[in-house]
Amino acid sequence: MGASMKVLGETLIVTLDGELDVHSASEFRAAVTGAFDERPRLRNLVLLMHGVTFVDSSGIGAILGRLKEVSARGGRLAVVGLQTPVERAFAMSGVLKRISVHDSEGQALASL
Amino acid sequence: MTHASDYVIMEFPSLPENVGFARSAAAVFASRLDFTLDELDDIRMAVSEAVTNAVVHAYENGPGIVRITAEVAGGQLVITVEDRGKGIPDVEWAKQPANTTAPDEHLGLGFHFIGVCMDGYDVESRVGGGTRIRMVKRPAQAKRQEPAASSSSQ
Repeated sequence: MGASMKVLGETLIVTLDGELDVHSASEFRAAVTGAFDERPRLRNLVLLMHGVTFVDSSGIGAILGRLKEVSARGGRLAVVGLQTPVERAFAMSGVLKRISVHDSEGQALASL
Repeated sequence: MTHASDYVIMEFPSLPENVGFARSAAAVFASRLDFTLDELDDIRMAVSEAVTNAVVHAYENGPGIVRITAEVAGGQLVITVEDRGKGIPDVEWAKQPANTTAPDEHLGLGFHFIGVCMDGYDVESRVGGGTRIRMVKRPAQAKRQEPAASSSSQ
């Protein structure tokens, strides 16, 4: 799993690649939580997931954990670009009601 | 396509790094049946959940051995994931979505995902003895070709 990050105002934008499972979820959690801890101004999170090929329930759990983190800061979470198997995992877990999914980064940023 | 019985056995230490290996290897083995890409994704998901269960719950992220048997017999795939970890005290409770004993960000959706992705599964567990998850899937294509209780031609 790869993750690169950029900051836009109050929003942390993270590009994810590869597979998000129990192993990579801990790296993902550490990277995002670390960035939030360093920059108290940040409150929103956008996950660019076009390059993510697999997410299981551990991955979904890690994303929901970040939703809690941004909610505690009064911010929002948006995800962008779910491949078919990833979207299916989101649907199976029932989180589509709680997480806003978008086709483009621009759309996601506008939703915050 | 062959209907002969064939199998692989994998054994590895209970490390999160091995979850990805296990699901990929299982999907490669499964591809000898006529599964669609979506069905192979389902198999990857189910194996990921079963092995994560062993790593996170059975061995609580500590040392242990996970053993997977993948078998093709009678046109269907049977995957068994076994551990010798702490066991599940109440399997029926654990199967319910969102029921989990694990802390942190584990959702307790593992068995729910396995149930959605496979045609069937069962769990045998003994507290202190370990857990065995057996999962079965048949290609949808094969199901269509063999309608209902295949009647004899005689």
